[in-house]
Amino acid sequence: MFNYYKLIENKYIILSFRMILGSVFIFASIDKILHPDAFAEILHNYKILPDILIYAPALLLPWIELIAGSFLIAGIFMRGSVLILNSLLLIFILAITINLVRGITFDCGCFSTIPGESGSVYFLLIRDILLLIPGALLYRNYMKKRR
Amino acid sequence: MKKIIVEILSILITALVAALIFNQVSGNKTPMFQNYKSTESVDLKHNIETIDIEVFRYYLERGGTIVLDARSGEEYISGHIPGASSFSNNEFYTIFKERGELLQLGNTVIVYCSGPSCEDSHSLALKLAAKGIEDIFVFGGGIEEWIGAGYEITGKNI
Repeated sequence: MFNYYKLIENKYIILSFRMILGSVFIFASIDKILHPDAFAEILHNYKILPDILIYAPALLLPWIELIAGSFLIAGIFMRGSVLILNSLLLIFILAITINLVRGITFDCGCFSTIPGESGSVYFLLIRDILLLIPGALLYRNYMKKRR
Repeated sequence: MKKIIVEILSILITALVAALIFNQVSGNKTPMFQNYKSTESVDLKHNIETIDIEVFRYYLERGGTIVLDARSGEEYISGHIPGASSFSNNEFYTIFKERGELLQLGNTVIVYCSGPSCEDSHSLALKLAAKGIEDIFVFGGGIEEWIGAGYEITGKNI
């Protein structure tokens, strides 16, 4: 019988997952770092955070994405990086879902602060859920190694 | 467990330091702990003119004017200025993709929302201006002033 667990523990598969997840977050962070005001407006439009808590995450979040994504690719603090990136994905999924349930239409701002550049919100939700797959497998792999 | 916490803290501190340094050295310095204030409405006062109901009526009678309702689709359906199209500010990017080209034909564009205190019309006007639409005004009194002046409203007209 084919051993799936052995496959997902293959070093090349793990490396590919690191590259995919890391580069997605690095790519997603660049435009937000360069345009914090535009990203602040996008966070504001999510209507989840109070006004006093808009600028701090608008400044910090893209840098967390960049640093954790870069560390994951470079092989530095991999457990911490993958845990942070998975947490961010869960937060994004939760925020998008809350607004879809509330019927609020908004610009995701996931990859770009340019209006409409990020694509359909449903597509982004599915993409974030799909990104959780390599994220979860990487996390499982690193936690297993630790035991 | 302790090692993971140290790793997470190291990443977060590195990100915090990088963010603070970048924010200080970049020309676009953003305040970290301050109530969010849309830069749009500040810029708008300098760039986009707010018109009163008389001027608004003049543009309607003159023709060649596109009137946009910046409120939500539900509010629009419940009653809007006759001839206005729904262009919810909250759905700007989706709607602009579908109908943005129609606004770029050289017509005068006038946007309104609920009343003098709502921000959606101002926000929408600036977004449209950023998309290259030049001849644009905000009807500041909005639907409140329109109804208050005794003019009729109508149902769905998307």
